[in-house]
Amino acid sequence: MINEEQLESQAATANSRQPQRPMSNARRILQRIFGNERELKTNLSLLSMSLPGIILLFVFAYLPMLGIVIAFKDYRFNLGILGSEWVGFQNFRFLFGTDAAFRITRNTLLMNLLFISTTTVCALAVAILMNEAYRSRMSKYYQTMLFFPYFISWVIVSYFVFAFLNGQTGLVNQWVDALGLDRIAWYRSPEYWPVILVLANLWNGIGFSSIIYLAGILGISPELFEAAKIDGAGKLQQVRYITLPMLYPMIIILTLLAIGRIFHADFGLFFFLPRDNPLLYSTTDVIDTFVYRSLVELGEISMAAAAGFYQSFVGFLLVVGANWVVRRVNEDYALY
Amino acid sequence: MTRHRVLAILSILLVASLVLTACPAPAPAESAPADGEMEAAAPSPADGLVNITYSYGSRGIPADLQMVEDAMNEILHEKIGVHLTLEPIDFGAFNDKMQLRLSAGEECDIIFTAPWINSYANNVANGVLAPLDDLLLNHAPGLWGSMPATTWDAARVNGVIYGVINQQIFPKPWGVHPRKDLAEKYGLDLDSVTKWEDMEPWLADVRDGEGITPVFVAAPGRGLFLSQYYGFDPLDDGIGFLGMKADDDTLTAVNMVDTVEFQMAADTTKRWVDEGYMPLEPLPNDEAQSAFRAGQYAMGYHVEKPGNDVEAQNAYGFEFLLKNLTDPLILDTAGATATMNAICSTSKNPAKAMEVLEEFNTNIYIYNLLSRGIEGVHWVWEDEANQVMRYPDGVDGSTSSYNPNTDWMFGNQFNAYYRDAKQVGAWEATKVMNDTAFPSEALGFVVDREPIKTEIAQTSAVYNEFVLPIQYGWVAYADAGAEAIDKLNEAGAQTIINEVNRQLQEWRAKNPR
Repeated sequence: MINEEQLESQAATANSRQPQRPMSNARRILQRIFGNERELKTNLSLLSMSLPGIILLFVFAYLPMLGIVIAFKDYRFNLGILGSEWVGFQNFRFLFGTDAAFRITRNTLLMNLLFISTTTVCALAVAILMNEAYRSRMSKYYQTMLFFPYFISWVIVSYFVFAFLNGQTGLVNQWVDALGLDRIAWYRSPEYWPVILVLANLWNGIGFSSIIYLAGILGISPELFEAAKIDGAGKLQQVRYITLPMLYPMIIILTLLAIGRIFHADFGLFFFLPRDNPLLYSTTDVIDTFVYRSLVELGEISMAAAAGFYQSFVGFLLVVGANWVVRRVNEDYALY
Repeated sequence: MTRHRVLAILSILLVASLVLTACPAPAPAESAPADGEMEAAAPSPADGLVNITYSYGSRGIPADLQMVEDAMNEILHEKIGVHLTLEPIDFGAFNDKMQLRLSAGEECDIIFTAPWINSYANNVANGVLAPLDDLLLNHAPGLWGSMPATTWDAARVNGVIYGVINQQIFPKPWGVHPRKDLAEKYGLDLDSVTKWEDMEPWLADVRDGEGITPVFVAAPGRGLFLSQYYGFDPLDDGIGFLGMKADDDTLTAVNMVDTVEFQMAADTTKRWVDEGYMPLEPLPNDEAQSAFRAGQYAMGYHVEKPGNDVEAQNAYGFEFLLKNLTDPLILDTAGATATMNAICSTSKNPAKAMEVLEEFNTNIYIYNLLSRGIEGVHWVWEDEANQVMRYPDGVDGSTSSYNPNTDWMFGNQFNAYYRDAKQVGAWEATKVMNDTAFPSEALGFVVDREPIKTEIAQTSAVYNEFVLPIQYGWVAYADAGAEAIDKLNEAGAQTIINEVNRQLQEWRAKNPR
């Protein structure tokens, strides 16, 4: 929802851009969101329709932020949030106390970077292909087939993967046998898992992302393509000089938003697919699975809150940083 | 301008109406009949009766709950002047709901509490449970006399009993249950088997003769290191490496990974995996179980309590033999206090509540009403002389309208009617195990995790990563044992052990032998 609002307001300001005056950051952000005073008046009625969304956002995203204090307290149920004792950074110690800290941070960042880049590239490619086949009777079929995995739980996917890869009856090892090669012990070989996880993530997410991009492509004025055709541009040239440039703002915004979540690994994917196998931790252990494993016996709310706060805080810094870089390059593409 | 203003007002109205309709307004029309039902369901008892509630965990709410409650009250009204209200709470919500109620100081009478749900230790620490010693002596002599004093000690915190222990199997008789047909076919002499290693010749024969991996293991894996088998009291199941020799009268906790027993178990497990007695990549639990039903395994190893062979037969379809290999059996805190009922400190009638607990534990009729339902409705006699019951025709465990299937929650399980003629005598045999088990020197001690929770979090991650592969027989102790111990120590294992040892000494000072 934030996404759409920002897109709209951005489009609005981009259309009626006025001579730039130096202004404070806060003022610029406010203007980005609401437009200047005159625009505010004209659009008041429309803006007020976003009120329910803003209220929901406030109730479900801002009010719970007060709960951050739990991360700095020794939270005891019978004492309540305010009554519990302050303990400073005590609750964060378990995250950094062992040499696992480096590994889980590296795995989380690298795997998420891989996910973001592969999903973006593949989803764009698929969206462009689907656009070409958009008038075909089969296009709805393709879209549905690609979209469908998005709704399948990782628990079930883990059984698919197990059926392919397990050592005794796994399909892949049967094919390997048929080819006369040596069997591979997938569940004991951490080096293969980054690839397996990237493939699984693509399979799961590509339908969803490509539909967003497809919507973007369909929004491009067909006149542009017609003009290009008359000038003798081939399909590839159209993609390179029209489709991609028109999609840049969307790609950048989606990527920026994904970077904000880069410290949050998809727990289901990383926990269920490798089947919580200790031999695979070196490449599959991420912050979320590590926190789960550390705290599952302890059930310590404060320490879990500390881990969540750490993830959100780093994610926040990364979004601000990435946005700053984008704004340096091209201000129109920045989130704010 | 005016048009805009009108539009603005209209849209604000629209928004307001959306917000208002989104709020769940109280629906008096709907809730009224519900209240009415409640009143009809729980008629205020006649004068002179004392209201007692019992809150416990349940797999859903049985359809015929009210019928059973009425049948119990028929007896209880007359016998002890109590009107009992059953309050089953779904297991998924039981812990949270009870913690919330207790922390809010809401009045309650009898509640279920255990180390693993609605935590006994936390409840005692928070002062929400009533001390029971005097109540037991004065109001429940039968219950008090049904267990030896050493067993009651397990429930003592700083010398005071806060929970009534439900009798069931207390020690962990780790052992084996091989399939009877294969034991006979390959000449297994179970009487001469006293340790894991004695099974190996037979396992080799089964592997070669049947072409199967004989030992049932499900994912992620499982090893032969089971603390009580090797004489350890695990002290706290949440701290995997922590243990104390049950007969160590100096009360010294150790890192079990760094013991010769752990190494022996790891070596044997590794050999069993290497030799193909145990699967290297075990199947997920449900698939492994159907493989067992299909005859893909020859034996399991588990808590071989009396009657486990019948349970295994019901689960897998083969006849089984059974042998406990744990000698001596060890009575530890977690085993003895695994299921308890306690009385809230907010209860207005703790004496009456204790009388109800006396009925639960010593009145066979009341206990079986609560755990099995009404004769002729929810169950019928198969063999009354031997106390064997079965479901009525056309009904099974899943379609019964009253089948809590949690005998161990309500009281002394040895008063339960048998569900299978082959189990006759199992309760007596279990009671013998309970009464003859060797009480751990630390029986009654519970680890206070508060000062070491950071270290527990750190070591549990390390334990999973470095110790489990050794324990499951995937890597050799000789290769990986030293590294695992180093990693555990880096993560604070020694801090935990020192702190637990300090707590043990402090506990001993307050609870002299």
